[in-house]
This record gives sequence, C-alpha cells and structure tokens, in this order.
Amino acid sequence: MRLLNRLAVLLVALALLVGGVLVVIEVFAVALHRPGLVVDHDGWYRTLTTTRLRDPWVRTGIVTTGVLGLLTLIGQLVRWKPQRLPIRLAEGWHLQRRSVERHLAGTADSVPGVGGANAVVRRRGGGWRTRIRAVGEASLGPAVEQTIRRELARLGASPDDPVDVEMVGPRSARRTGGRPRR
Amino acid sequence: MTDSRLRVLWTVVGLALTAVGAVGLVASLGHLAGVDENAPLIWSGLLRLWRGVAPWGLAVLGVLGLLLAWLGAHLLRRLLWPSPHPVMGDLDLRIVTATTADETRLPPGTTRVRGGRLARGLERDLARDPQVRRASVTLTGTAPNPELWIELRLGPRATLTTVRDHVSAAVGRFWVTAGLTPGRLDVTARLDGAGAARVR
Repeated sequence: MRLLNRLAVLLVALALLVGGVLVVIEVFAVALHRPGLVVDHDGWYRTLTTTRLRDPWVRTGIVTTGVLGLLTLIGQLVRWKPQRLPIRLAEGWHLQRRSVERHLAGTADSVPGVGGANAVVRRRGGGWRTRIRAVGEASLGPAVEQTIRRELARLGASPDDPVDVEMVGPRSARRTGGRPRR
Repeated sequence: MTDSRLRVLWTVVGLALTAVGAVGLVASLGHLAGVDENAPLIWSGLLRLWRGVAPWGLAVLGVLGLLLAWLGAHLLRRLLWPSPHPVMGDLDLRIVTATTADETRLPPGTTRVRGGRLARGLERDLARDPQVRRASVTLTGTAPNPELWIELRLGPRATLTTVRDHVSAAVGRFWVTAGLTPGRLDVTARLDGAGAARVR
C-alpha cells in the first residue's frame, strides 16, 4: 500500500501539472480567438450543454468515482503491516519486520524434520506476536516453538510475547499446493 | 513525503471522492433538492454567470490552471526529493567550542566540519564490530542537538545485546568527539542472510 500510495501520488501530480498547463494554454487560445491546442472547444461545449445528469454514462462515471473513493478510503484505514518492530532492549531501537520473518522461518526450518516454514510477526501492544506455519509432523510443534522462543529472546523480544506454531502434515501441504508461502 | 502524510492525503482524497460519488448519485437519481437531473452538465445558470463575468471568467480559469500546475509541481518535488528530516549541514565548531554567546561572533577564523564526514566517521566506528555487516548513518536537524538515524545490517547470528552495547559505546564516543548533544537516536537493524542451515 505504501508503494501504491507513492505511485498514485506521482500519477496525480503529473496529471495536475500537465492539466494545469493545458488549462492555461487553452485559456490563451480562447482569449486570442484561436482553435484549441488539444481541446475541441465547440465539441466540448456541445457535449457538456447537451449531456444530462441523468444520462447513463454520467451516472456510471459518478458511481465509479464513489467506488474508487470508497476503495481508497478502505485501503488507507485498514491496518498496514508494520515495516519495523520495536525492540525492548533499548529506546529507539527497531528491527526490520521482513528480515525478522525471514530469519525466524529459517530458524524453524533448522529443526530436524521441519521444512517450508512461514513466519508472520506483528506488533501486539508493546511486544510482538509471532505465527509460524511449517511442514512437518505435529509432534515437532513444541520443538519448533522452543527454538523460535530462544531465537526471539536473542532478538530482544519479551518471553511473554505469544508464539503460535501450526504444523502442517506433508500430505496436507501437498494437497494445498506444496510448500506454504514464505 | 513520509508514508503517514501520504496516508492522510489519500484518506482526504478518498473521503472527497466518496462524497462526490454519493451526492452525485443522489442528484443523478433526482433526489437532491434544488438539482434538476434533466439539466445539462453545464446548466443555463452557469452559462449566464460565465457570460456575465466575461472576460474575467477566463482570467479566473487561467489562475486556476496555474494553481493546479503549481500544486502538481509541488507534489512532484516533495515526492522526488524526500526530506522529512533535513540533513544537518556543516558543523561550525564555534557552536560547540564557544563558552559564551559573545564568542560565537568572534571573527578570527572559522573551522567547519562537513556533517556528512561526521556521519561517515561514525559508520566506520559502528562497522568495527564483526556482527555489523554494514552501517548507514544520517545526521539531521541542527547543531548542537542533531538527530541521529542509524541503519544496521547484521549477520544472522548477531546478538542484539552485544550489538546494542557496541552501538551505545560508538555513539557515546561520537557525541564526545563531535562536541554535540543528542537530540534523538533512532536505530533500525536488519538481519541479513538465511537463518541457520537446514538440517533434516
């Protein structure tokens, strides 16, 4: 969403710049009684003075605008994934979330008999909430959790922070499309 | 332009578009008092107004175009040259060595240290720890209380408590040698490389 926001602002800024310059050019064209550079003045006048508010394509445009606005609003108001996770070790210290998730997934994979691990870490209050999903026997869950907790302690997370481990059997993992997403 | 500012901007734009869509739809369906859904988009009242204020309408439109173009250029500049935290410029040593306000105005000679050089020096100090693969430092704000932004790339086996102690010591040395007092310290660490080797 952060990248999308930036790209969208870039597009809007370019549109405003080009549109604004075009308006000034067309104003000069009208003032000097010359034909428009890009806009067909007579054609636009005819269209805008004959098209009614109730016309289907006008209504479609209005509905599209409203839906676009609603989608934009929802996109901004939903909770975004944090880029950084605060560390309790010191004030002002953070860890990059993606690197922590990759690291924890690798750590879970290091447990014998476990593979295809996927880690999701989110802020929870002042701490972290960690979810691990890995391919392996269910009996390996406690070993994975212990390894992850040890690694989290090394990374400065609180020992009270919740860690959820979900073990997926190799067969069900194959059924659901192979390795889980990392 | 920071992500949070962009988020506020798009929230406002989203609200405006939603309002335009909702009000426009109600008007288009003929349920908005005072708006005739059978009227053309440029209705007769607007045309009368335009002809009544001629030729000033054109001037207003031209100014509006200029405003739009300025807004677009301003947004582009803010987006392409992001400076949420302006980098600290050169450090005039009189700021940190003068003991009275009068001394800062004394003319004989000025020694300036490039802010970027100070940051590079701290980067080298930070990278002395083998657990730190790379350090990037940005000094922002103004002397003598600048803000310090540090980005670290750590090896996968790095222990954060020892890294923290090393960084604290390096930053302490930096403040002492530069003669500055910290305004803010922000550290972001990234764990590099894969985790422990996979064993099955």
